[in-house]
Amino acid sequence: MNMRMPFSVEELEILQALTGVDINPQETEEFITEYNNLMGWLDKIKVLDVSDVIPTTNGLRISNNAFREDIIEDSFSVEEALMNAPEADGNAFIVPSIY
Amino acid sequence: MLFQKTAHELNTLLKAKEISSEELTEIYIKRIEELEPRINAYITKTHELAREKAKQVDAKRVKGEKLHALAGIPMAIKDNIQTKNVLTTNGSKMMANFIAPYDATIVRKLKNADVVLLGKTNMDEFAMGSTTENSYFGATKNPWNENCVPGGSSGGSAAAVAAGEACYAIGSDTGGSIRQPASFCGIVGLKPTYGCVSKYGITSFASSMEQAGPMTRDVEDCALVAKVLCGFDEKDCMTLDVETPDYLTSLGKSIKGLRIGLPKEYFEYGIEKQTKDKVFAAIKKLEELGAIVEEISMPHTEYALRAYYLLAPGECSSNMACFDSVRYGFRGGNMVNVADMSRESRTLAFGRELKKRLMFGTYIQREGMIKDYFLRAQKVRTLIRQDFEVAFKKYDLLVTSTTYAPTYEFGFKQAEPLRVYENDVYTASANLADVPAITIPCGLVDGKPVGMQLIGKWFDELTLFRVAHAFEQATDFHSNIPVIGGEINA
Repeated sequence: MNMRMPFSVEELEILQALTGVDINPQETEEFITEYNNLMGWLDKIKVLDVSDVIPTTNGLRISNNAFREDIIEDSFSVEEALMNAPEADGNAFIVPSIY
Repeated sequence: MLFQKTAHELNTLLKAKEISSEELTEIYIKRIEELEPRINAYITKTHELAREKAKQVDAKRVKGEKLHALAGIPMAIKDNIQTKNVLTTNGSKMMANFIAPYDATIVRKLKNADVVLLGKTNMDEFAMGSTTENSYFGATKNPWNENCVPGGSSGGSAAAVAAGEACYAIGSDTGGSIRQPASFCGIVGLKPTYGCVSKYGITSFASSMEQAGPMTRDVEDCALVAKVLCGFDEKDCMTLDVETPDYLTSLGKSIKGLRIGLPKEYFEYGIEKQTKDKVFAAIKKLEELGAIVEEISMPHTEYALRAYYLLAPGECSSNMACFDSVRYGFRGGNMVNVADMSRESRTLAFGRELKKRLMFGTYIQREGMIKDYFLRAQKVRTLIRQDFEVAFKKYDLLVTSTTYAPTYEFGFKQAEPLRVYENDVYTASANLADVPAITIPCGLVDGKPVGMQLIGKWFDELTLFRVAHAFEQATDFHSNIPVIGGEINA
């Protein structure tokens, strides 16, 4: 069993980059404390021997792919698709440069 | 007072033409206008739509059309459920201006039943929280005590029903988000079996666990609304193609001889004495009604909440990636390129708890972490499920408290974050095992409601309704009504 990565300012910077959200220095400090408390509590899960247990991704283990006939059905109009766009022009969503 | 009546009582009045849907709708709208400045149960009010719909239903009734039992009855829907051409904010700044371009499957079903939508109810941002304090639109107050939280995340739905601002409401439950607020507000709430209710059009939080369900004044209403919500949907491949029984047929049946398991572990986690006393008094009542109650052990219970608080943030961190401010959602900040635009917009629009869970859910799935935490939690989920399988070999259902205590004051979460998480211990196991669970009022402690939770076998909502109804008929806890601001509710 690996040692878990400690919470540090650097680790939280990586997490911010991965999640695409930034937090301020005060939140960083608070989150480190809160995460450490939370992990201290969660770590109890590691005492269980689960080596032979099959993981459950959903309790019913449903895997019924929903197929349908390949028939064109009603879908959003261009207006509907764009109605919530922060910025749109004609048939397009407008975003800043992708680079 | 009409706003305190159940849907089935109102249906009787509507059918007898003692009142019209339009009149009823006006009563609720007046109630909402009076109370909303204090309760804040709604994010969006759809009163004009409600009036229009009520008028249509009245016209249908005059014509003698066959109408659903819920037709013309004013209700509310949690704001993470897409409602065409109506704001659907998810309690977040990110979606504060989002107008849903389509109906969730359950909204379509409710519309087919001719319900009257009064508005969209407040919730913790993207359903993450158990107090509504994480809503961008301000917290909802508990009608029983305005200094206290209504519970969450479906706190707006629970408060709306308890305050008589809606006859019933729809909530969603990922770890207890229907049952805990229903318990805190003294109403009935059902989390159906996973796979019963379509998730199409409901904003995903932890997709493998969440289900929408009814929040109602009594068990009969709960059965009535559940029947509308449940059923296979080709748009949600996680719904099961099984026929939904008529839940109303389970009402009024004896519970004599039913075997009920009492998981002892559920009463070991800091449950407050007065709450425990109320729940045990309720259990005694079930015995008086002929049920056989026996203590059992569900040995993995103490790990359930830990598994939940690993799986839910883990799943949420993936689901939240779609909020990138490209096709919808808040956009702001200094936009140099599209990646910065998305990150700055998310930073400005997401609240603290959401960021905390997003980053945490990402952390426990990082290389070197995922095996020991996220994947381990999925294995623990198997053990939780096995506990239920063993229990249900011998018992028809299980009984527990819904929470360890009644509602608490605002701000408690900041002081005791883990204690607030721990309140989910009673409810989250049902989400992990995907079994149905219902909460029903079983008394008051210091003027605050306490709920008893019944947990059933997979797809056996019938037994839950049967036992819940028998209990309700033998007691009068469901007639307790909050006194709001000194008014006397006769």
